Amino acid sequence: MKILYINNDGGGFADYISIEPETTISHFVDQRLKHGLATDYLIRVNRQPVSSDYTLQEGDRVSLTPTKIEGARGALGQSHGCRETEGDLLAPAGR
Amino acid sequence: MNDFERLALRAAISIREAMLVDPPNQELDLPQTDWNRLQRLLRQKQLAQDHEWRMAERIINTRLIFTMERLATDLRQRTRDLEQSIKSRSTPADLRLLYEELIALPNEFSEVSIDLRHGILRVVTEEITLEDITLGRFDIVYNWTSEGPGPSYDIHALDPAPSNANSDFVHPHISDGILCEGEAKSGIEAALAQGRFCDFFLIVANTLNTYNDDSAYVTLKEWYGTPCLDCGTSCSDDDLTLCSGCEDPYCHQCCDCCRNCHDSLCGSCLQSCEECSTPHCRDCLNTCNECNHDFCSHCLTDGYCEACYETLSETDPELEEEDNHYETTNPQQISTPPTPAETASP
Repeated sequence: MKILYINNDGGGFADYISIEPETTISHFVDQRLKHGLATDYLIRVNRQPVSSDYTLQEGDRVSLTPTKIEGARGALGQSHGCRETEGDLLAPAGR
Repeated sequence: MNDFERLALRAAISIREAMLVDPPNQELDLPQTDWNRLQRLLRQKQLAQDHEWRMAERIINTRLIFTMERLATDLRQRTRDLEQSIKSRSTPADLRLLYEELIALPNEFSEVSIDLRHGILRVVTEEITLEDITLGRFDIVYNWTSEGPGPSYDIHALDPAPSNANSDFVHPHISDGILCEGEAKSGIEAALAQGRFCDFFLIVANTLNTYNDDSAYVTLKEWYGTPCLDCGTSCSDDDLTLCSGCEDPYCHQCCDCCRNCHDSLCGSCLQSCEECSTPHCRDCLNTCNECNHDFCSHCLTDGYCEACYETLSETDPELEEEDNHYETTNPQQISTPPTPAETASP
């Protein structure tokens, strides 16, 4: 069956994906977050919080939003918040 | 349908209309500056190799790697931006999706308001505390009619608790109401392009709830001011003194001034005269020629401290003689000879 999966981590893509019937939300999240903990994410099904044993239904909308998102790191075009690193990197060699 | 849902529906219609308007054509610019820098560095590298300047070559290599990595990151970001821009133009947001996103907001935020007249969607975060520093609640304001090149949303502190170090900052990652998005940038852009407003506000709120020490406008360590390096007390810039010796910041209590030149110095840079114990800077103390200890100019005689001078006077008659000579010729110690008028007086 197909569900809409929105991952707000990183690129924030939204796509329809196929999953096995009778998949619980906790099982689905474990599958998706191979290197992350479910507790670090805000998990919503059809924009509502659900219990971990909720069984996903055809057409459900599942969104995962990290609870911790670091501002400024790697930002482009927003240099005023980001400390320049090249100077630090080269300081010992250059001075 | 309640009042909020009716308002949300009207807002969703207005937002969809705004999203259907073609954005002004944005020129696709390339990272020319970094590219030019790379070419310049390559020329420098060649020159360094030709002359066998090993140290210079090593420095240039480090700069090359840094610039290449920055260029690669920049190009990846520009690729994502272009993909996002193409995608958002080709798939206008669904009205139902927009409506559902808006009516979901009150489930996530305690305060939500919609201003149809000005095209403003506004939510209020919970009180934000980062590393035990309470920053208060924040107002995230999205303007769906915004056409400017900058971000279409801004953030305001509702209970501002600005940094003592710099009162312009109410959050480590906000400057002038603009969030330095960092890792949230792509997620925010995607959520806004697809009309997922609930996700957008959650991403922004979660970014506000996260602290990144590496790229904060003001770090939380310095939030209450710059710590005095001696006692650790946080002080605003006005309450700090830069030590004239080491140039590190210290509070007024941890600095003293040299009694001779009056420069402010920290405890480590101040030295005491061995004789009178008054604090002086290193430059205003002189070393005794005999014992090599440091003394202020008042406590040295002919380059010797009092103790050494006395000892030497006992063993060296010349010094004694010099001393007597000094004593007899020192104008402060010679009594003025009586004037003839004085001697003649009865």
